Amino acid sequence: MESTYLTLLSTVVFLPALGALVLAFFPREKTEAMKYFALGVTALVFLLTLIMALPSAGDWQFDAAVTDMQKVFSVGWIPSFNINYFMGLDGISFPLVLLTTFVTMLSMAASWPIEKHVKAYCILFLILETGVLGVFLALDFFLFYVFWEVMLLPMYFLIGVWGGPRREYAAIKFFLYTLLGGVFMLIAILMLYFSSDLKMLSKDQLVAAHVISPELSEGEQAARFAEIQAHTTPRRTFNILALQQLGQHTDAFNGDVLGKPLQWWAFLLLLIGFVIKVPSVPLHTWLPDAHVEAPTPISMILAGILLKLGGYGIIRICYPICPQAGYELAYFVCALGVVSMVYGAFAALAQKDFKRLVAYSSVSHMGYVVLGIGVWSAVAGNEFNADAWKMGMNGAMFQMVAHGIASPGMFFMVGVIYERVHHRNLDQFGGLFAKMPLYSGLAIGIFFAGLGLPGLCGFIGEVFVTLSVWSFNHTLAIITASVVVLTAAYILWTLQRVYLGPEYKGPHGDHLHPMTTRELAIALPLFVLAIAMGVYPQMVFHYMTPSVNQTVDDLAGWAQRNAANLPQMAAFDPTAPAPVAPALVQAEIQ
Amino acid sequence: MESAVLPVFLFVVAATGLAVGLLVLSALVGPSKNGKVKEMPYESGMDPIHDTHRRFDVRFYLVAIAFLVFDVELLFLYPWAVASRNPLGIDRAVSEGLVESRGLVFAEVLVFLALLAASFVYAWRKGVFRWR
Amino acid sequence: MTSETAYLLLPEIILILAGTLIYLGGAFAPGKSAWAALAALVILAAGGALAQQGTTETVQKALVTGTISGPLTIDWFSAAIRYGVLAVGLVFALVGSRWVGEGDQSEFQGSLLMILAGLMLVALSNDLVLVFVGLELISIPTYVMLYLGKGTNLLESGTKYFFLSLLSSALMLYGFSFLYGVAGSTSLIDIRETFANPDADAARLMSFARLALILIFAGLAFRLTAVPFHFYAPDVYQGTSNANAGILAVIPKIAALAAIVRIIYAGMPGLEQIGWQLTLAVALVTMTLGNLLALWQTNVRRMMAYSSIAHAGYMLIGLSVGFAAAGGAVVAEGLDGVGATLFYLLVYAAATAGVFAALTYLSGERRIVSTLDDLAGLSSSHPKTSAALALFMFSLAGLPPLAGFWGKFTLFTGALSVDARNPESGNLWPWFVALALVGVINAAISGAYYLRLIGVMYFRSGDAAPEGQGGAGAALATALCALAVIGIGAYPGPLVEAGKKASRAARDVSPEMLAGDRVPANQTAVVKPLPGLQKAEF
Repeated sequence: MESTYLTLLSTVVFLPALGALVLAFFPREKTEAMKYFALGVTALVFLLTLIMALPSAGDWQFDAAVTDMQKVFSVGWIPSFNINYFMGLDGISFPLVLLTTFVTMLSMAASWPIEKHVKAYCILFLILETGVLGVFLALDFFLFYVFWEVMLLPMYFLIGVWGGPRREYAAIKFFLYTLLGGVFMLIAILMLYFSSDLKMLSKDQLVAAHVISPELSEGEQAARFAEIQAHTTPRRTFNILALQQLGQHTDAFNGDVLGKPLQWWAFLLLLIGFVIKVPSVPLHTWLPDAHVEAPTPISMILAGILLKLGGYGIIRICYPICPQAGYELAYFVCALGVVSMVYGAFAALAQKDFKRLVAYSSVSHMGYVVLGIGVWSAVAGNEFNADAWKMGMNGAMFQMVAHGIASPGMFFMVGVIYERVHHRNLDQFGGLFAKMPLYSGLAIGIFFAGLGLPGLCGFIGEVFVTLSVWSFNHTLAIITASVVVLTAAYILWTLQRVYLGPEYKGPHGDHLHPMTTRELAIALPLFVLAIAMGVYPQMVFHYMTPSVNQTVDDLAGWAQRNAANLPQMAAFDPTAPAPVAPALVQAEIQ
Repeated sequence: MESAVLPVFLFVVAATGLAVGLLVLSALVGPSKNGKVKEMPYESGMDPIHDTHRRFDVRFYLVAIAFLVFDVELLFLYPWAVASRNPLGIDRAVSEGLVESRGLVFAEVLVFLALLAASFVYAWRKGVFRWR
Repeated sequence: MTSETAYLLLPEIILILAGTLIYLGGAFAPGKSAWAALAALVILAAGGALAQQGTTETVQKALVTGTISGPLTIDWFSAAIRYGVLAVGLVFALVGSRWVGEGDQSEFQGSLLMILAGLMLVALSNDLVLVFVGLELISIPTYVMLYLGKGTNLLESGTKYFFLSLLSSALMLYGFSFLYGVAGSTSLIDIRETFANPDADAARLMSFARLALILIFAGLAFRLTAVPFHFYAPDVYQGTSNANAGILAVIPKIAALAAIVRIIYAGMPGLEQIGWQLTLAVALVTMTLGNLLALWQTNVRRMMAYSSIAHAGYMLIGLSVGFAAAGGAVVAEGLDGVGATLFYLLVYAAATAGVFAALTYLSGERRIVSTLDDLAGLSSSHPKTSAALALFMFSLAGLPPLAGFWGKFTLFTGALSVDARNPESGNLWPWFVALALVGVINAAISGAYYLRLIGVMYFRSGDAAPEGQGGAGAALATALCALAVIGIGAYPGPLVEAGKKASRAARDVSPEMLAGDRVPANQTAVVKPLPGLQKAEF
């Protein structure tokens, strides 16, 4: 079985890289063929992952009912550091993988206007996809880090070579922020590695972490376990699942470092690395610059996928490995989320550049994700009822997917208009509805999805997060809810300035011809999905909820075991009734 | 403080003290008379004939360096020459196992001379000896 | 000196003889460019001689246990450094193959061969005197070399280097003399024995040993370009030619590290505490200063000078861990700070030599590539060279999966492997975590200026493309370095292991070494009055 999964997941991850290799042999002048080939590769990868989502895919099928990792395989890579080529999927990563392959395919289709160095563009684009998919699938911390950095290089060149006038500045800024986050992450990884010891885990835990393959017979497992226990020196590991077990069930990461447990520092370093990517205020300043300078398809990928890596890292790594630190830093994480939401929304209100506005809206919307995840630990005091945590977590995950649909749509819509009139000044638009009715209709729909209008995808995540925050801290919940009003303000004002009004008076007015078929083929799926996910959110929850709930339950179990040692949260009131979610929501998260 | 360091410390203190002390002493005690005559380059009263900041031709330096190099290097042959015929020299070193054989020492001297010859040829080809 | 010693020195003898011949030959036929090819062949021949020796029984045994032959130590450490030096030398021989500027190519190549021989002697030597001779055999041809080639200000940079190098040699010699005073011998293995089991005299003089350590470290820190002995590097690199700057950036560092490992790390057991504290402090300051100052540079060679200072700081991380581990701090098994440093040295040398090879290749008769602006738009005029330069920059910045990443990874892993929970090393642990943390922050800072260079090549358009007349040799050298950077990145394991093995070989004393062909301490150390030698004899 493992070899099947090895083939399957390796194909998903490395097919784009293979495509890039083939592209290198294309003759320079065949630019059209290169674009079609790259689009074909991304479409193939999307199909592959889509097949996994189907119920009748046999061995390939992603089983939504399974809460643990599935499709897991592990082979040795660098034995002297115990580094494995170790990958797997669960309900947290699978929706994001699907999102990645889908948005990448659409972005490649949006890359047709690229005329400069087409070959290099396509190659870098495909390598970028390999890097992102690798991060989502890696279960070895080192492998995770390598993919994380691999992703950096193509992005740097894609912004720097194909970007706008200040591309050099934007590219370096993007690179340095992410590199800084990456090196912090590396330190945390090594700190955890050198505190880890597989000998502290029981046999069942080792099997659950795939250190001992579950496919082995009982006897072989016992033999492997005895072999690990027989060592006199600590058995270090980069296995993320084993590190989670160590963090939740042992005191391996509780060693004292300058008055704080080691996991407190590790959590903080990892969190910095991830929130740079999310991005949260005050580490967000690279994002508006990168978005404004990047070409449209790269903006789509950046907003749609790369930002999700930060949220994914926090869910997959920060909390499960360092639960106590997460518990202690709950207010800090929640504050990061809320400040980003408020700041992003206000900053968006003040923008004159259409793309910059959308970029700040991303900062604001990703704040919900951080808040939703943060609530997870913030309500840790409420240890016997994990419903609110689950709601926050599910909300954050849903928000990531929803934002992954809405924000590429918004950036694409900005790109469409920029290509025609070559400016993005909000004050010089107006009256586009009259000239491009179809485009304007789609754009307004997608922007409403970003706004969080009920019935569209942005609504579900925001509601879930807000509700779960209520059970933690009323003040934060009120702020969160009021951000919705701010969001509505800047989006509606933008729509009014761009699409409504009497007549377009800006430059290049005669170039405002209707959308082409290709543009329509990109915008329409995003539009349809934005509606579908809003009307029938179960299509996403179906895949993610079991794993998310399992993760939350594990942590709730941890909190219950350690309740005596944990300081009570200020807002915790054991006599208060557990928060009651609306019936609709209850049904969805179960 | 360790006793071994003490003498060194005392030495350093004494040396510094002496140097500084003498300067201070001469400044304090010595007579100080300034005047036009005192400012002259030669106190004997001779007027300088021309500017003293005169440049010598760089070729003189080259010759001086070449002379120094070859002359000083030849000095290294004296110890060998003395030691080779002395019973307490190379023979004794060989018998005590410090050196493998007389022949090896001779070979080393030959290598040294060969290097010297090579550098001579090099300097000659580079025109060091030509008075251009 | 025995004939066996002479045989073991064969590669060095080949290099020196050939160097002399090339010098002489160049005096008769200055214009010929075949000297580079000859020098490259000689380096390969020396490598062949080294490999041939490796097949003999004596050397094979020596590589396992280490052995002493007169003033030489034959062990894994010396073998590893000798091969590494020859590889680096080959690259630079190729870089200098198309001659432009002052002097003759023969002088450059002859000096290079001498420098390589000196470098190999430093790694080999078991004697303070031979270490010094080796270091001078590096320095003196370097002075000559700095006046050769085409630079913007050869005279200034050559003279600056000359005087400061003299100062550092004096400092180091001063340290040597204290060391001799404490141990009563110039033989490193005897010094090591004295430090390991000090008699009453030596114990009394231990404070001088500390002074000796600091002075020797200071003298070598100049060659390593560690703060506060770094200040000459930017001026010297900027004024001299690209090839010379490359040699200065790589070779003195190898010499300094080899000498530090041989004399301080292996030769002075018992002083590990001062060792790790000194290297840790210098490492922190050196990498931070180097990286911060590099940010403002517009001259590529000046930027690379600060980059080389910063990398010297990284290298000291491994040394610091090595000292701490040798002093009893517990580190995780399978890790070796000094081994990581040696590996890092190779990785650094590959990328840095590659940068200067590429710059040499891009230069020409009219203009040598000096400023960032000279590189503007390089990606369209010289796509392959700019790709190679980008590769070197990414490797120096430490991005996976290139060689530089593994170098930094092994260093930082070493620093973090100090066991926090062990009482022996628990109190050191925060220091080393801080060291690693400052190290990675520096790695991120360094990304800024390495990327700026890439940005200039790829994102800007220039008016005048560089001539690109550095010759096929420089192009080949660039390609070799690029291959090394990729190859080590893809498969770092064997070289990391080789580094560990070399570091262990340098540190361990085997009974075979103590029993080896070495002159007993009392005969070299004490000048016995020869009773018969009186005035009357003369």
